[in-house]
Amino acid sequence: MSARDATLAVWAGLGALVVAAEVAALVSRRRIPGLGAVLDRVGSRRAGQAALVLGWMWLGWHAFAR
Amino acid sequence: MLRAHAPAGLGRWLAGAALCVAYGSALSATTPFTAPADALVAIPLAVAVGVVARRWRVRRRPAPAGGAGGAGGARPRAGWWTMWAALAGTVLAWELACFARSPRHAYPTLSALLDSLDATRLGKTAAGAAWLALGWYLVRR
Repeated sequence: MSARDATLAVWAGLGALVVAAEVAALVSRRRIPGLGAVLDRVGSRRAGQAALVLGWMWLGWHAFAR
Repeated sequence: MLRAHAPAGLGRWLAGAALCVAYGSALSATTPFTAPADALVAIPLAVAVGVVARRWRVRRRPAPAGGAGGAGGARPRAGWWTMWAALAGTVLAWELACFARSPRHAYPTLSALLDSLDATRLGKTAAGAAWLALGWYLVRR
């Protein structure tokens, strides 16, 4: 297995964990918080919302404009 | 009227989805480091700043207790928040580990993976649409 394959495998594993946690949140009827609830909680304060929006802005600039 | 029996937000949701796809499609026709790409990305950024500033001015009162956390119902236990924090920390640590190594092809970061997605017109359309939708989700709360 090459270094690239191993790196991609870890990324895939982390992605699968996120998807599994989100599915668990759906199945538990929100007793387990999903990503949306996490974003809501972080963004419930101004500083949190500012950080999220700034991160989103950076992501768009970095990915599409640079 | 037609919307009398339609689900309240369905029309708006469809219009928003169409806007996101149209935006992603337009974005996919641009090339990074060019003025059209800069302009097309700058538009939602400017709108986001305006919307957030306006909402912050209007909403002076803090959200009611228990308002954060989404659709209501049972409140999640604290341990689950820790789980998400640990997951985010793991992703960040792996991102930094990949970033510190080279060559990039052997150790792709999230940016490199996103570049792979952006390499195709369809992938860039999807990424642009998803980015715009995420932005709307973040600023409209």
